[in-house]
Amino acid sequence: MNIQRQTWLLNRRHFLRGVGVSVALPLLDAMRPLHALAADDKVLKPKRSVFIYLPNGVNTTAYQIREAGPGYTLSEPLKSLEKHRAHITPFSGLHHPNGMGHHHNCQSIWLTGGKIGPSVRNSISLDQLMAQITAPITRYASLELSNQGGSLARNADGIQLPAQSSPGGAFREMFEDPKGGIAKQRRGYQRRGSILDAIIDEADSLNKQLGSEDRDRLEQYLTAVREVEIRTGRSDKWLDTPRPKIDPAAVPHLNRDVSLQMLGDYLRTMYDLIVLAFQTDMTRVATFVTGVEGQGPAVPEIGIRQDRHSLSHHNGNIELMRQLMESDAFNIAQFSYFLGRLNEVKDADGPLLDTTMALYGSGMAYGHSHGNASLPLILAGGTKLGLKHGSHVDFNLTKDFQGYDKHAAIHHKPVNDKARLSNLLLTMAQRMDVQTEKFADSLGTVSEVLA
Amino acid sequence: MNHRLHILVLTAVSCLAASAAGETVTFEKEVLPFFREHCFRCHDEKKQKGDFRLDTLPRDFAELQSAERWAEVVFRMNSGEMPPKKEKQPHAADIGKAVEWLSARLDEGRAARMAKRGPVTHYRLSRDEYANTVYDLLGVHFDPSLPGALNEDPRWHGFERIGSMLSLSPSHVDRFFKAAETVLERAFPEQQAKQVRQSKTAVDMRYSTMRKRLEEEGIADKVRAVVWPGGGLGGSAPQGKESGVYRARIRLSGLPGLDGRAPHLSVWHNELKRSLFDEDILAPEDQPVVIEFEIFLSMPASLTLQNVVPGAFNETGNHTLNVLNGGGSIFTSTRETGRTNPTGYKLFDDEGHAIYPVLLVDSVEWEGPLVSEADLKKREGLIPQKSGDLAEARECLRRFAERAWRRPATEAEVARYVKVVEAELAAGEKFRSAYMAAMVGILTSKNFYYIEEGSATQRRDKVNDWELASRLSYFLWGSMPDETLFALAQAGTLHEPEVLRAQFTRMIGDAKIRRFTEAFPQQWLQLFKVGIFPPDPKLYPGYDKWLEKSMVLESQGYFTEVFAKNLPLREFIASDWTMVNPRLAQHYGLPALQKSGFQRVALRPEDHRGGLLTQAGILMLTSDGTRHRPVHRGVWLSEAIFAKTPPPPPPNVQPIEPIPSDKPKTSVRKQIEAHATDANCASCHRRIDPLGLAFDNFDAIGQWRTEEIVQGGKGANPPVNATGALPDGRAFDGPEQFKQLLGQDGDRFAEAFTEQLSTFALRRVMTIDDAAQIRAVALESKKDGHRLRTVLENLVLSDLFQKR
Repeated sequence: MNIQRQTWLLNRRHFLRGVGVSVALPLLDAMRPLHALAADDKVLKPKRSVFIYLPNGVNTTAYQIREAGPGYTLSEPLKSLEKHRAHITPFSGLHHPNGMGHHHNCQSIWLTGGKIGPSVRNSISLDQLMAQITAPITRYASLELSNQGGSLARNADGIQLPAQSSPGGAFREMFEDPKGGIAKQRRGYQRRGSILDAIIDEADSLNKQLGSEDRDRLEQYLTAVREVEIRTGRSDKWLDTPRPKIDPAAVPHLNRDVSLQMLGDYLRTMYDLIVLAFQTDMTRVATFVTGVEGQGPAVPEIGIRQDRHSLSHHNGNIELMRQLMESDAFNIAQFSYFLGRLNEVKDADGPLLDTTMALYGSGMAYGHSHGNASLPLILAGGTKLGLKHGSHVDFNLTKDFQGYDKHAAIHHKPVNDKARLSNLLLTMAQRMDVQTEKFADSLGTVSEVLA
Repeated sequence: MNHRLHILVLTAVSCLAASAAGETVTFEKEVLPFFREHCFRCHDEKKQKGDFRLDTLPRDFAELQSAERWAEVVFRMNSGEMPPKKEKQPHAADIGKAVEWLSARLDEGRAARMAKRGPVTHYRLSRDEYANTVYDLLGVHFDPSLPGALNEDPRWHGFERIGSMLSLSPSHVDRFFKAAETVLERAFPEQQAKQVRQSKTAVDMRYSTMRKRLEEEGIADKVRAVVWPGGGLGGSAPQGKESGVYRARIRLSGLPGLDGRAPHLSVWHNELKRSLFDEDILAPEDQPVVIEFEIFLSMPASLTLQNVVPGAFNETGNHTLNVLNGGGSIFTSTRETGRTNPTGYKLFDDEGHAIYPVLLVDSVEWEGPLVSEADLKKREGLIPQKSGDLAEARECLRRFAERAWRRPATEAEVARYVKVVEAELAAGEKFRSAYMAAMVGILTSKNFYYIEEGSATQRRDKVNDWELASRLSYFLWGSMPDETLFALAQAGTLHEPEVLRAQFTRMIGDAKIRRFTEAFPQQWLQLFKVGIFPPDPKLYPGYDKWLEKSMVLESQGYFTEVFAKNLPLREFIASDWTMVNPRLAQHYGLPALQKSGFQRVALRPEDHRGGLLTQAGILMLTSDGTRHRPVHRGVWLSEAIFAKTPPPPPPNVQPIEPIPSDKPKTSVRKQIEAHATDANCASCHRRIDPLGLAFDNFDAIGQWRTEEIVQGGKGANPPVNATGALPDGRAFDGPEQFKQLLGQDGDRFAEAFTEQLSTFALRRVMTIDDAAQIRAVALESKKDGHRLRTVLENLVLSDLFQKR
């Protein structure tokens, strides 16, 4: 039975082409049944990563931590993180050189470090690079959440992946068995397999006739179709593995829509969902956009009615700056809740927080005039993956540094042009077993957070 | 012999090149000294004004990026913008020489790129085009914007159909799969759904608990359901399980409130949380109207008929609603108050006038799911009649593939899908189901959702007749060609000018042209941005979703009117009329309208409207919800009206230092001026800002104002200053004068408009390679005073339209 249903896939030897980076995922790997992997450390000792985006930067004057090193004092909006001090590293001075001066486009390259422009294609995002490693192990390669639209995730062709905006939608997709039972599902996958055979064959035949430089769009199509083929195969394989049973008492909390009018409830529910996805090993890679640049949500529950975009263009208005700071503090407090949950929930390897790297922050720093240097970024967790924490790592402290009173200028032109966000992304990639020495425009790893 | 000839020709060409090089001025001798004298002082190693360095600009004219920069250099020199007026001015002859040399190199570079163009180009359908295409192909309504249906398309300056933008991810393929399954299930259901008629009376919807009493009193056919501001009427949806298109007929009256505001009917879908139909209703109590419309309903559906107007009861909560709903209040007419709730809110004054805008609903009638003869006809001959007959299946699949792919299909292409049928049969599927899998495949094939132009084996500079048919139909109908176009493509005559002209005339007379008159202004004017930053309700309490929707409908309706009447393009800049509904008339402070719906109204000078630029939607799409943003307005105007995108701010500019709020109130204009003193910023902002500042008389939702309301700060609100000067020095005071100045540049606007139209039609960004042909279309159209349809027709008949 098992063998028969896999024939349609195994008959052909399609390999993922055009992935571009050092990791390519052979189809056969994807087809390896679960039990063959079971003894592997890769399966038994999960490594996880989650990336959380805060739109429009922060109120930099209030946010900036003034002291570097272990003895630093958390600034007002960061106070809620005090209890996680041993598990976090705030950074100052990191930036994406490609994002400088590109306004709100910073979000599209936050995890890619790619170039921006109408004729330039973005590149693969870090979470998707990691997902190439973890995909064969978990039911879902990655989880994309976003409250207002597109995700942070970009595939190997630089194309944005869609995201779930409702906690209920994401919950049902992961934890509810699709209707119709296993046999019907399997028949559906098989049917899809025969159709994919035809359309891949069709595209291949044209591809052979074209010169290499003309294949661009077709190559994209082929990559997409082949990825669908791999996913179909994986879904088929997972049919025989029952989905984890979720405590019925917890289901109503997660399987629901939450209005953005209740932002705190919304954010915490999404964070709970990520914790659950990690706990049940449904996936090991997640991204969460808590708001898109240009329209980050207001916080009606604490009386902030303007969106984060309007607040960030505060023009020095003291009242707007106060509200932006309150909004920053509120959002960070929810992140602090998330870290708390990761620390409480344990798997065989101990607290999830120790096996999970969480990067929180923005691609914008000083939103008022679109300053994208010295980004607000906090790295947390992952000590069992080889990270260490406890210090404020400040890359601005160079001979050119003139102090934090000139905060607008610091966020406009990197004080230290070697302090690239890609360095940190590379560091995280390597901790997830991505075999690479370079990520986007990285210059090396960030030794300050390596144990 | 042949070989020899080749060599001869080659020699001749190289001789020509050599002599050309000898005769024309060479770069080193004539152009470089000019640059040294007039340009390098500000654009070299030491200084890069405007972030532009000329001395190292690569002289590789075949490379598109550097060619475009050189074209910009030529443009600036030609227009007299460079060198700047305050610098030493070169002799016209010297400019001429340099410009001539550069232009010639640009021409050569373009030819080189033309030759390099790949043999096959793929343009993916946008999701709206996908929906139109499946409707025209199979008569199936498919809403691509439903949750989980199709991904939203990325835009390029508002355009949703630019090939290089419409990328494809696995999630797209996955969704195309599911969409194809849904579409085919609807087209070929196991059992054809029965069409039913259902009627709901006011008793059914509002008074069902007292039906008996009303019947006894003999007023069951006289009662009406009152829908007050913010109120809703449930139980109005049809019953049943069959999804499809339903026709609704709602009989009702709509009474304006004492302030003249019309009640607004919104048919709200409770699950999708969106309105499926909107209309202001104006109909006296004694003369109810019947509103008829068709909507697609995914069944079972739950609908509420809402009266959406900001008003008395919106924020007072459930208590008010209980008072209004409860107490057994029965309404028949304003003259009959005996059965109304004595403790309820007073909805009518003693003369029977509605105090607030109210709806009086009599009945809702549903008919559906509707399947027209025309829709059924589209499905004929696509399903084999004999079960198990593979030969017939092959024939049906070929027919389906050729229509879906919009071109002939080869035997080998069809054979792939016959194989799907065989594989499915082998897996134990029934014949019909196995056959349907092949159909799903044909709709999931790249040949369906990509428009393919060119062929792998033969290089072509022009599209062939099949490709032309698709270009034409996706341009004007946003969808696949019809049988007539296919027949002309088959005959190979479509490209002949007279045939093409006749088809153009036929196509713009077809009802499907509406897809163009809606989609093009939507994309060209970037109307998707309307409401993207919802206005702060504290600052703009009168703003509501219906106003937002009306704004978009005005701009689309305006475009449609210009198209229908074949008016000149200058009507887009200024006019003494516009298209408004009662909601917009109120927003603009125009005299109250007597009937609902959009209608053409005459404008007076004191209305401060006319043309596109002072329409509320256009003014709003560049504001951020709290403030208007002149720089964004300027950028929008530059893009939409001049088809020129200002360069983005260079990286690492000095930031704007905030102005503390304990200082006097400062207008947005003053703040911009303060920061544009930086010479580097000023060079661009000098060209952008005035375009936006001209409209400083309008606030963030497009209302006229004479003073700017500034939040925070001390002292009085500053008065509006809408003066300025165009880059060429012509001064203006206020939006009217600004529009007049734009009107004087009719040729320039016509060219820019033609470029926008071409971008839409050809699904790609126009480059300098297309400039001459665009200009030719605009020039040809001038003979007819740049009438809209003439511009379209000339574009369709141009070489550009058939260029691959």
